[in-house]
Amino acid sequence: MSRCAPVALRVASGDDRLLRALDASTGRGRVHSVFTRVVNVLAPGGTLIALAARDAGHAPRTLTADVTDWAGRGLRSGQAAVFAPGSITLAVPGRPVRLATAGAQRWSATAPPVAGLAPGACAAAADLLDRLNRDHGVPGGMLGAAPQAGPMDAAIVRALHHGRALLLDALRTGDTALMRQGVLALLGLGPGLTPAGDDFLTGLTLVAALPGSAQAALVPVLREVLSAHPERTTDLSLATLREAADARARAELLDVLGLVAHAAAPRELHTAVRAVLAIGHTSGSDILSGLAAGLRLEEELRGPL
Amino acid sequence: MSTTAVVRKNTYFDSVSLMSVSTRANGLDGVEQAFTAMGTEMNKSVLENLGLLTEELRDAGNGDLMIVLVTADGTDTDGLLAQVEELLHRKAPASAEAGAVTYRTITAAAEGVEGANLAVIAVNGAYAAREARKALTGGLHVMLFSDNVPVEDEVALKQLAHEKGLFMMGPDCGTAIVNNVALCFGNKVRPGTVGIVAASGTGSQEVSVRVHALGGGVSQLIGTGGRDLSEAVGGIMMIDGIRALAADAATDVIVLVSKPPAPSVEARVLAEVAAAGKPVVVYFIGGSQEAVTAAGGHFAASSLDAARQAVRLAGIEQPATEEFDAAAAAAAVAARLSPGQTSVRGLFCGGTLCDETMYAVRDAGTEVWSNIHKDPAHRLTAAAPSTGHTFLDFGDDDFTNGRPHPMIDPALRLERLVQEAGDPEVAAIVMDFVLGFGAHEDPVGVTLPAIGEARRIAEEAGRHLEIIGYVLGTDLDTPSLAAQTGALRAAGVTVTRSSTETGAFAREIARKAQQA
Repeated sequence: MSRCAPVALRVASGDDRLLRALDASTGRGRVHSVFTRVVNVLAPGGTLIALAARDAGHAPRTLTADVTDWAGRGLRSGQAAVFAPGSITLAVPGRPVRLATAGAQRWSATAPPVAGLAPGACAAAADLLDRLNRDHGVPGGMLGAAPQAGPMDAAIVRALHHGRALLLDALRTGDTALMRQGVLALLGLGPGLTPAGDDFLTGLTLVAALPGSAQAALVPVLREVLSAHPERTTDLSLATLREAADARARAELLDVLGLVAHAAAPRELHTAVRAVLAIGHTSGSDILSGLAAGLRLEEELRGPL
Repeated sequence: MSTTAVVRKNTYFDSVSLMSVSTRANGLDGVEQAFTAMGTEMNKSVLENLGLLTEELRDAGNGDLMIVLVTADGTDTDGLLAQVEELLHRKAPASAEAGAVTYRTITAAAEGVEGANLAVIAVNGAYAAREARKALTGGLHVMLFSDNVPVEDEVALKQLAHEKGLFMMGPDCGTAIVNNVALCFGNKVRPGTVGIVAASGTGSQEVSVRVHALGGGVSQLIGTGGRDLSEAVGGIMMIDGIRALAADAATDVIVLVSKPPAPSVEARVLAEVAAAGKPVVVYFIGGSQEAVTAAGGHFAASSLDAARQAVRLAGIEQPATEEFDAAAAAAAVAARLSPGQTSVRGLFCGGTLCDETMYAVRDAGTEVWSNIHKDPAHRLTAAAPSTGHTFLDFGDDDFTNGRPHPMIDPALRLERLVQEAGDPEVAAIVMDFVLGFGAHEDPVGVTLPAIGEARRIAEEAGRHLEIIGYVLGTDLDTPSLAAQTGALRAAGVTVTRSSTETGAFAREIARKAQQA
């Protein structure tokens, strides 16, 4: 590692659970992947964490650094990341980057409970989410094939619909073996860095992981599948799904769930949903499909939470 | 057919970039299908079911990127793979870019580029004013591409620029041509003696390409940002722009392009027109002639009219062109329509192009609906279905919230095109295709599959669907105007030659379809 003085950056805010874990974390990890606004880093224990630029938004396992973006800093995947209490140093040759976590604002990634919803509210929220998704969402995943889709994209969409039907039927019957099949049919399915099948699972699991959910049986099944078959999806998706199983998700999703929980006016939900739909290419639409399916199933299985 | 695969080990692209690579790979000559995906078990299983899983793909892991190309027999697959590698290289993550000089601050960039005197700023709106202020304070002219900048900041920045003798183009300024260099969405046009000051991005692009097509050239194109002529901003940049062009020896004629200004601002702007000492053509879209003429300006009723007057006043002989007989062309279309096909739908990337066609239809006494209609009773949201004659500007905020501009990412418009084709009321769909340095590299090519799908839907329902396409661009643009219009014609699209002609054609089809 270079002996040059590191470039000092401040972590402005971060996931409270992650910040607490980092306080006691020492050792060597590595840079996993580098994007313009996010650098993913594998911590010493193998946990994937994200270092986000200023306006990338709050998410689980994410620290937001006081930078516009990560371009031009010489960051590459595979570079060492040295963890010490209060700091992470990325070993960029000649100009290491040190992020200090002291004073960072702490953000909670935990989804709000929706236990107080009146009868019919889950189904009404699901209808509204589905409608907004149809009106503003991006096809290509759970919403169906895009107009210009080729046979390969269309085959993915067919497989997604098959997996969704399998999993939702399993949740209706409570058949955990069938749930496992449904999860496996969706896990890692889709072209993106967070495949569409995983995005759907994220939305669905987030509802299932809420206290008192009638779909709670999905959570241990998902955890078991992720633990047994981590190679079946991308590292980023794996991390996102594990967090969803703990009822933890990025801020845009928590905003939507918060508004659902407070039976907010459709107009307010409209703005929050548009923020979710802006995630990735089809990811926002696919996550929203999962949330809506989860809410509808919740009403179907046991009425309001 | 044969299958060729590329596997890039441990390569991560964000999903928007991945989609972009996939779209471009599908457009390569010789590629029948292209597919990009991470090498997960389920994705490989789908490929296996399609008989496309090669040994190389079978070995791909969940962190590897798979690129699958299905090509016609005899295709030069090595050449295609090289092109795919090039696409991947262009879309490589920011930190992997090689050779690019990156500056972390405006000050560093200004110091690093000798003689730099203009900063183009495109950052999140929340930080845009701060960065623009830094640039102005450092003595740089500013072109501010960012939107969502508070109007108070805009006024303060423009006042600061005015005091320092600098240009503050924007916020929300997407087009400029400075000393023959096109910035952001600008087109490649011939240098010449027509200077343009514009509060309208695609409006100024349209006037500049029409001037070029008529044999003229552009000295400078100064963008002001869409709010400059509002009461709050007071036309600070347009007035400074007029004064600069009036003093510019290389400019013989000035053209102003804007939506109608606030009344008090119009008076101030027209006072500058009177004092310019050069011919000034005024194209205030939907504006009135009286005040312009009284100020000694040359009133233009359309973008084409503005360009024609400017070229004439510049003393350039215009090529003889056959006038477009919109009524006759529309009659031919109407003869092919089925009963009930009464509506025209416009799906536009350019706000001014949308405006010009919408006003042309409305001014014929026909009701129109739009997401940019001034009258709330006739205003539609992005989510609302079309009704009657509907003209949508996909570049407006309601459509671009969280997405790139449709001149860069056409996905929403493609989807809407197919949707509109299923409406039995629709007689014609009008679309624009905007070329330019910052625009999509093949706006027609990326739309052709959706055009084919739209035509198929109408044909299967036993209807003729007239699709009208206007390509805003020049023979010097990349891709060229001729290549883009040729591709549209080959797909059965009726191609118009200007925004004004597009409006006239849409107006006549609307008339005749409703009479039928």
